[in-house]
Amino acid sequence: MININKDEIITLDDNKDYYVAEKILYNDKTYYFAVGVDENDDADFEDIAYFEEVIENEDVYIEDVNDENIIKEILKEVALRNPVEETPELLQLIEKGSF
Amino acid sequence: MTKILEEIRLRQPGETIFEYEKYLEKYYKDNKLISPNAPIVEPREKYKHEEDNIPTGDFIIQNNDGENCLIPNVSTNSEQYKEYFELYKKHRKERKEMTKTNNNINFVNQLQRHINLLSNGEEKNKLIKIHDKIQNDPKNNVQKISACVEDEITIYNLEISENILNEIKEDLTDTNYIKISNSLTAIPKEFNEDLESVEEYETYVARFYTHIEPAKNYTINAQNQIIASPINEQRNLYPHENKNPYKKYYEEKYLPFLKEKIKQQQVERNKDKNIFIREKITEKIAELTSKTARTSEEEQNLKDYKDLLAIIPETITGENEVELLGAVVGKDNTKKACELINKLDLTSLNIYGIPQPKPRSDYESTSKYEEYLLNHYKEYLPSSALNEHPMGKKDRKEYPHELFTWQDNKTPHMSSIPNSYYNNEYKARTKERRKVKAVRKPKKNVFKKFVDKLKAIDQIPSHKPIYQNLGKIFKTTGSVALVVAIGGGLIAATSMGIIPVNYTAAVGASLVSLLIYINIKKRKLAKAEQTQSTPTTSTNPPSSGNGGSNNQQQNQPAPNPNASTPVPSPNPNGNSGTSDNNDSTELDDLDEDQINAMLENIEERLLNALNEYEIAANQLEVLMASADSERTPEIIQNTKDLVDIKRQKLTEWILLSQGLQTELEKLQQKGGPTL
Repeated sequence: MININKDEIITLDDNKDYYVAEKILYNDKTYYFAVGVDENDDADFEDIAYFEEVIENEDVYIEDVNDENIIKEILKEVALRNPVEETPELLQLIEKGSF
Repeated sequence: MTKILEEIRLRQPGETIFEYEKYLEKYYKDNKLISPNAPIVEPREKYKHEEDNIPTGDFIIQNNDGENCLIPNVSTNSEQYKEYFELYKKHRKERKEMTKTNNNINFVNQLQRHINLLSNGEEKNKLIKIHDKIQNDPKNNVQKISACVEDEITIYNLEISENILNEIKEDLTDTNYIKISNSLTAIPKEFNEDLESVEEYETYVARFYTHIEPAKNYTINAQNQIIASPINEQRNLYPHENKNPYKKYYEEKYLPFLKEKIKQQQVERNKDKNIFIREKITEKIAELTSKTARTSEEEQNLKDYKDLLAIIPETITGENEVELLGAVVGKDNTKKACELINKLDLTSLNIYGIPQPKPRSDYESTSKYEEYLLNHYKEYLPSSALNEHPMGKKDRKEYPHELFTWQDNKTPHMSSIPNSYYNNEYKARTKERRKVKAVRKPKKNVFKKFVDKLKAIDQIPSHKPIYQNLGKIFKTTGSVALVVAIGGGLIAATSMGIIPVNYTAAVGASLVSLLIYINIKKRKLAKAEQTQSTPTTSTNPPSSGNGGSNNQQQNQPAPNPNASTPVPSPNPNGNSGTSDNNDSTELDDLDEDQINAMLENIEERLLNALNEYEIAANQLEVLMASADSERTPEIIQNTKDLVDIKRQKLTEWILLSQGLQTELEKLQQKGGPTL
């Protein structure tokens, strides 16, 4: 059975590829915060997706999540897992007093 | 078999290029060598020759019917043809140059030439007026419009003063000679209710726009009835909505008119339904009455039919009525009607006793509402009326809208499902499940690419203020890109209609809280710098917050390989931590006055955006509730697009106002003035 992890690209049966930015477990269900990618694996900003994983007879399916509460939970988790990092560029800006 | 056509004659002495091209055009049309509906193409394209490869002799070409046609003696190498062709090239070049450089002067010159050819009359007077006004235009507060004249070849890019334009706009659009191809400033005359009805005015407006943009025949149907107001297109064409006289009329006159019209149509439809059902019930009653010996069950049925007939009214008023699938009854009789209909089993007539479902607003989530709908229909509908789910998978969630058939297998009556739910949520839920075929590692660091792309939204003018003004934090640093990502995702999702705008606003708050965290970090760093009296480096800064999972951080690609150690995660709920309370570091460049001024401005814009969104959403609702014949896919799409645009605009202003409010609150905590 296919196992999907964060930072992987999934290919769907309509040949659309999505980059999995986060994999989230919520209420015993698996959700993915994903973004569509083209053949060069460049992200398509217009195609940000929230998927729910559905497993059926050893096959893995994804369904679009449209429940606002679940999307909220996904986003919350994404924010928690991706804290703000302080890069040298950011520190430079701080030093300059740019913000 | 090859069909032999007549020879193409060469240009006659004295014949203009334009006339000769008309001849060629006709020749090709008559011989079905170009589609009758095809746009006018230039002779070179018709011949399908290269300029430097002019053929001689017979020329074979396939016509529209697929037959080979021989055009004999195509002596295009003759001197006469070459001469024509040179003239043609010159002519075309001039036209192209004119198109590039034309302006008011060219336009008035062209008008003058045409006026000279006209005999006196109304058309000539109109054109003279236009000519004189444009020629003498002092060009104050100019507006740009594009126009072309009869031959539709040259586009004139005109600049006309607003007041002059207002004086000639009716003549501009009324004359057959001039066509306004870009109606940025062409505004229909104002509605005058003393002189005309809403319907008459709508017809005028429809014709007005159809004239301007003949390709967009979006307002009048074959019966010459208005099928939709051109408000969408008009708004798109005319950016200064506040100056638009049509807007006020639309909201105050047209929308109520449309609602009333739709209501009347519904009443008519319902009347027909009730007549049909009453006829059928009357037939049943007659059938049972004619029986000399009735069983007790038949006696009961006869009574029930009579009772049912009594509660299905002949006259529909549109008030206090509940729609069943197949009939309309008074609210007080809903239960009884359902019971009787279901008891009598009128399914062979496609009559079911199903009360109108409750509205979506009675339920807190889509899933709960769909569960309710499903049960509602299952309770009243016989199993024979239920369809297998169109996805053909038994284990799929069942969508009530597709669970039953309606007369002649048509879509169930729209009013049986609340429109807003159907349009906003149901459709989104019916997306197909997709199988995951394969999983692979990305070819490159997609996360970084993703982030880079997201950063580009900072360059979109409409988004820029959000990121610029929120403490000027979005300096396209990799560290805040995820915040941008979330914001971008929200905006994208909102614009796609997946997330309702109020939800977007709520999540926007958490976005802002992340920004606040950055400010806190900045101040802590500054503080640490003061204490140590050493230049700031990328050493570990003090941490704050309590969220985050470290194992996830390991997987997160760093925007820069030399990045310093990641700081423990902030609390994305905006908890700034206790260490922030005594921080006296100055905030960003914005001060209270600036923020207050921006807030005042934004409040007004927010209200406008909300108003516009509501109008657009209302418009969509009204449209979807209208009769099938009044809804074309183009109109529906245009209206949806409008709703999306308004929703996005509203979202942006909400986000911006939230960010500023937060900044202001922080300033106030430092002893600043209160609002």
